Amino acid sequence: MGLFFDSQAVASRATRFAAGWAMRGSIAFCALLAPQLIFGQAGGTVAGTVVSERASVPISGVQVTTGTHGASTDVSGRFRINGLSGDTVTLTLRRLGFAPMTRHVRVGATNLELRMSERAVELNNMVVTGTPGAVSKRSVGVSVTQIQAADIVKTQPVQDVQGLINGRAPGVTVLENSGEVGAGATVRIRGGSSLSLSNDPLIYVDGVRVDNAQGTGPANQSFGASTTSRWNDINPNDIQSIEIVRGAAATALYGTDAVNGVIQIITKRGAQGAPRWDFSSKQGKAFFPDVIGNFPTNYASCTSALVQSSSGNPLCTGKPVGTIVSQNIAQFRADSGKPLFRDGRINENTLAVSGGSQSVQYYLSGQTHSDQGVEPTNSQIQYGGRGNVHMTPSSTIDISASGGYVRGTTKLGCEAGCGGVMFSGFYSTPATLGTPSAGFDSGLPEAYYAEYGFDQLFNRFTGSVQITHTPAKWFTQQLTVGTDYAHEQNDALATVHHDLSYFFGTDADSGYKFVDFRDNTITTTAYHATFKAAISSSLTSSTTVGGDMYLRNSRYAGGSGFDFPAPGLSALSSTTAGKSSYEYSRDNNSLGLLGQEELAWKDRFFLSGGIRSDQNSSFGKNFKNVVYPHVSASWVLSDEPFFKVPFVSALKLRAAYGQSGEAPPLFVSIQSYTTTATGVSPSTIGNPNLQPERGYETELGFDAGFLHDRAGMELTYYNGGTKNEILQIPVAPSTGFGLNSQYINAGRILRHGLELSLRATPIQTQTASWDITWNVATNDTKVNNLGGNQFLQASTYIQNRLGYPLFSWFARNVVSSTVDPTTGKVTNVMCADGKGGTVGCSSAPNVYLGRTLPKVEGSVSTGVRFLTNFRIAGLLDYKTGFKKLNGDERVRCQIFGLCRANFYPAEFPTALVGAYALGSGAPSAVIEDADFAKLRELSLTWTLPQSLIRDLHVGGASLTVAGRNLHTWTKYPGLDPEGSFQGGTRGAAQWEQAVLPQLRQYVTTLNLTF
Amino acid sequence: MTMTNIRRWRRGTRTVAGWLSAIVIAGPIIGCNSISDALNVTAPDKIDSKMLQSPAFATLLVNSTVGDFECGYGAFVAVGGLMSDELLDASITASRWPYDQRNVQTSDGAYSTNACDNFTPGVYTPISTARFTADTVASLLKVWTDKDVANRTDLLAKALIYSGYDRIILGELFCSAAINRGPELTSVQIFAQAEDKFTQGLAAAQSANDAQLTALAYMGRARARLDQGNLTGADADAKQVPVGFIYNATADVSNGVRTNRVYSQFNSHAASVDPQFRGLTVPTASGGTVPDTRIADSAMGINGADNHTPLVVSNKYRTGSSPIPIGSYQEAQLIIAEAEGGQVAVNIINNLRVAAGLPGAFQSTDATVIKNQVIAERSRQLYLQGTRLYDIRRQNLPLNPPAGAAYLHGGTYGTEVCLPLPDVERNSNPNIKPTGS
Repeated sequence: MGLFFDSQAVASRATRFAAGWAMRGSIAFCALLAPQLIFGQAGGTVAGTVVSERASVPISGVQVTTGTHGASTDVSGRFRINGLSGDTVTLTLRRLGFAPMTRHVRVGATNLELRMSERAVELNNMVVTGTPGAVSKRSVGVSVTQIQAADIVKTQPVQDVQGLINGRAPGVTVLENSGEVGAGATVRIRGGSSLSLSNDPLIYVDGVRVDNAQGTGPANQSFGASTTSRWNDINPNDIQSIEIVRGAAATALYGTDAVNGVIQIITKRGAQGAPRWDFSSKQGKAFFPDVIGNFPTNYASCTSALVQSSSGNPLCTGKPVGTIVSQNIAQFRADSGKPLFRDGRINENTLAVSGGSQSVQYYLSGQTHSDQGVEPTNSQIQYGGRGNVHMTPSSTIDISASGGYVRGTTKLGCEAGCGGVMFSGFYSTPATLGTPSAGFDSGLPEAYYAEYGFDQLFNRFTGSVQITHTPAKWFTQQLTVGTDYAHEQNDALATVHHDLSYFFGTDADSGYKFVDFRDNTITTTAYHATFKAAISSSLTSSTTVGGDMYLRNSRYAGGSGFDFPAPGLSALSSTTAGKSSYEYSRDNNSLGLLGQEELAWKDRFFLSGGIRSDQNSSFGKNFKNVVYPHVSASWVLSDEPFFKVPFVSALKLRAAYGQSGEAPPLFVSIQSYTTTATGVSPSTIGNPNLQPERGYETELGFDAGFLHDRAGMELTYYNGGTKNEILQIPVAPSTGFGLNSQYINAGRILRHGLELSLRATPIQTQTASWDITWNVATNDTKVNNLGGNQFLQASTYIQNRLGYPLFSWFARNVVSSTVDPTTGKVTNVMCADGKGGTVGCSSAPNVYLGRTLPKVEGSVSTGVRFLTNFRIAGLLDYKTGFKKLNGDERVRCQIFGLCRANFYPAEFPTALVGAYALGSGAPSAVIEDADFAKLRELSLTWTLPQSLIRDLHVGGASLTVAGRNLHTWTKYPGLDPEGSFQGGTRGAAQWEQAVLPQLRQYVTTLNLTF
Repeated sequence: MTMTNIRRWRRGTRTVAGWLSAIVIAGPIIGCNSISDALNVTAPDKIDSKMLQSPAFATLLVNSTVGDFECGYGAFVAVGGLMSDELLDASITASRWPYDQRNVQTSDGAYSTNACDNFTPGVYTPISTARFTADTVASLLKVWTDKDVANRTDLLAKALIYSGYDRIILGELFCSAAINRGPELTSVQIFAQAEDKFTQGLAAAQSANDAQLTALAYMGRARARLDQGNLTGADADAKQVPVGFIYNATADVSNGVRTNRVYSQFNSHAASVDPQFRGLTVPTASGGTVPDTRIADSAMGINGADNHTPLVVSNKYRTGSSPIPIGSYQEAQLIIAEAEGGQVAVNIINNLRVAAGLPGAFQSTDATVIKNQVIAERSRQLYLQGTRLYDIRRQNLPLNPPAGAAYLHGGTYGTEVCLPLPDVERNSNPNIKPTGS
């Protein structure tokens, strides 16, 4: 007899259940219920488990009824209905967000497994909009994407929040950077909105604003570049859902700093029922696929020194001077039994327990996470926990408290500008064969591993309490308080290794240490009150007033020093030269007041409007506050009596207009000096009139369900932009304040786009199903005003220029050259003159070469369930309409001259050879189309049938084998169209140079429920 | 949980509800002051510029402008070394190569806006900042009285003299420059301003009885006059520089910003002594040669950071704390030699060699030979002191390597002997015509 049918166990469970009720004081109800649970065997019984179709995740709160009897599923998705008569009954299952279903079952069947499909369009789902509590999606006039994280994480090889978002929300672009373990991506919503300020979306966790930094950590890529992301501190296993709010029309209630969109992360809560234990273990490996095929063959010419036997160069010795030789360093190393990269490891374990009574539900979890990269110096260890409690102590009070803590260490390898294997290997040269560099450009991989270390120690706490008080039906008030504290210690270390001075010179001779501390605390206090009134039987009013205050303190401190007197030393205090230290803090505080009025007509037409007023500590002294208005309408057309369109089961039309903004950086509005080694020096020239950027947007769209919501469609068009755009205007150095730019409000950008999401479940039977989702989004931007400037240089080869998309590539475009067939000498290099003709490259203008941000991005995800318990799921995402700077080609061919074209120019187009001959200042040849499609995820999940796990005392189990980054379709000739160095800060995240590509992963996941 | 506890729990929730309601009413009132405070924030590392315009900060401001100058000066010497034939770039940092290649574009951010302690040192902005702070404190000191500021005249002299040297750097390294968003000035116009600053500084230094600053003012003015082609005036001032005079830009290896910038070039394997300055010798009277110890170097036996250029470091600045001379008796003597030529020049050349422990065997009566030797002696005696590039420019010396020769990292060597006015100045200065693109 299995656990579920063990009468003793049932009695025990019922007793515990009864005790839970007793604790709450509902003795009378318990007395009525308990006998039925324990002794209710008089009639027939139907029992089983309800799980979600896609992820086989138990669903709690499903109402299961027979017409005369009913039950609700518990936290484990289980239900039991007693006292039935007859041979069969028809079960009807209903739950918000899922398509209702009916099943004819045999009375006495107590091992049912019922699968409910998510509705393709669910207008009654609740979403978070900035007003108290959640509101029904039917009343919202903007597009809000919900990602059901819990379902995805269970089966897909997703290790972090950014991976969870990638490809699952139209209009959200995830630009991966490096394939290193612990490296983060750059996320943009609707292409970004600012030329000079951050384009990072705001993040809220359970109603509390949290640190959204996307590029922190030790500068392991040189040029001040860092690669870790604070986004990924949040354990995906703890997330119930993610809601993405896009554009100014939707984010008006969030006010200043919300113009780049808002991401709401809602963590898991417990559900009423006995404790449910969930254990999940992910084990797998990550590796650099086809290293030899992906590494280039590099060339060199044998010099008079190399042909001497004393050179030790095996390719040149004894050959005529000028002999061209080549090698593939990856092949060379593999042949030597020392492959360039190892296989990384994925090891992630999570244990969670949830449950509770009607009045108190809890969710507790703990997680360890230990990943290793493909380089020995790259790893991440992370452990943390979360505790969420939801209480309804009375019918008028609802309290939610959540707290999450994580700490760990990320060790990053040296790459990109730092050097490392990707640098020294990718730019390897046969000329160094026979030297200690053994074919590498500079250091051997093992030397880099020994010499450098880039570590980040971090810990973070995010906690919130949300109290909702509804003393009367017409009045609800909500208080949210919380804090997010993130601490980083970033260390960069070069140790004394005299034996490595050949490779690293002073670094190895004397070493250095950089220590940087970053503490970021955000305190959220928000109060909102909503007054509801029935104006007539058809018309209701909902008035919301409130305010919020965000206190953000960022504290930075650190020091650096050089010259350790002896090997083995690594403390900053042990350095003897070049010591410097710093400390500063920034308080970015804002206060917002808001008011909103919503009118609802027969619960199918909704009209709302409101304003928000913000003050911020970074505004100029002549600018006190900013006001953001918004208005929206939503019409559930399908609820109208006249609506009789075949196959259309739901249709909502929506329209919205709104404004939100972004505050300028702190202290740039005042003219200031800063301290130097000898005193003080001018810092910022100031601007007392500085005010926030103001984003504005009109959004139109509809949500439609077809065929009883087995198919759905969401279409959104948006058109808007940013005015009072803050421009970072260079200051004439002759003023004395040239080291820092001046911030002024002068610019304007325009943007528009289309977002489409199609979902369908074409096949659904008891034993098989097929679901498919297609997301696609377009985004186009244009610089409309630059305060009198024709262009502003945003980064190397990237300009914001009037009439062109934001952050466009601009450089000299080499179109032809003359190559001497005998000598190979390149002359007469001609460039585009920008008017349809050509001009000598020395006097050529910079011309438009393409976008950096994709114009179109989207994804296709699908899942097929077969043989009842098996499911194959896949996700393919794509980005098109952008160009990437292939920095690897630039370095190899334009700087180091290692490419075949450098030695056999006649084999290549003259424009390419000409560009290579001009050197790194003519990048047109290496700014290349980077359209790609990537098979991001593919998984096979086996949900073990009850018959197999019954004897193991396990409530549910599944086993998944999955792969990530399995294949890329692209014409981009570089290593990875997603790679970007400098943590994405250079080349608008589209400059790939000496960074690891996204690693391929194979992961096995075991989920057990007790 | 007992029924008593449950009652307490319920009472607690009522209390919470009560507090919530109270917040609605009292919150805004109570919170007004604290909210106001929260929006009025300060930065512990920033100083409002108005606060500094007080006599109490006079010494601080003068010390600050000296610090600004010293960092910019180090960058000037290093960049001038790369652009001239003193140094060879050995780095793998593309933004540095245009210096060495003599092919800097006006749009390049590195030379125009980088800080002086950047790995790719910037000069225009750092030295403009130093010039601005020197001029600012000098004008304040002119307004303030001796009662307001102790040693006011001495501080004023120092500020004016450094203001002069700031202009020397602007004029020598840049083809043109601007002052306080003013019009584009030629190097000669800037040198004229420098001369004026030195004249004012000289008067103040003499008034303050500061012999060192007096000599430095003479030295600076001699250089400003030499740069303008006023050999007579330069000669007269140089003769006022006493024997043994030297005035240094200090450095401190224990502080990253104050580290000797030339030493940093070698120490980071980013630059190597140019081949034409390696292994130089001085002839002896017997027809032999001895190594010229004024430009001694050390071959490190390894390549620079680019793994291609043999690393040879100068012995002139052995540590990051080694000072870099701003002006010296030797420089003054060589100005006299250039101005007067003939036997005076021959004697000066030999005297300086002997003073350096070298044989003083140079002899010639040919004016051209003597002039060329004075230039050569300047390149050795003043090696890596920031004079070589402008010597090449004003004497129209041949470029080495010549323009058009292939550059190691692609492209060819250019013809630049001065840095163009950067776009950042041209496009942000209302008194200068902006670039077209």
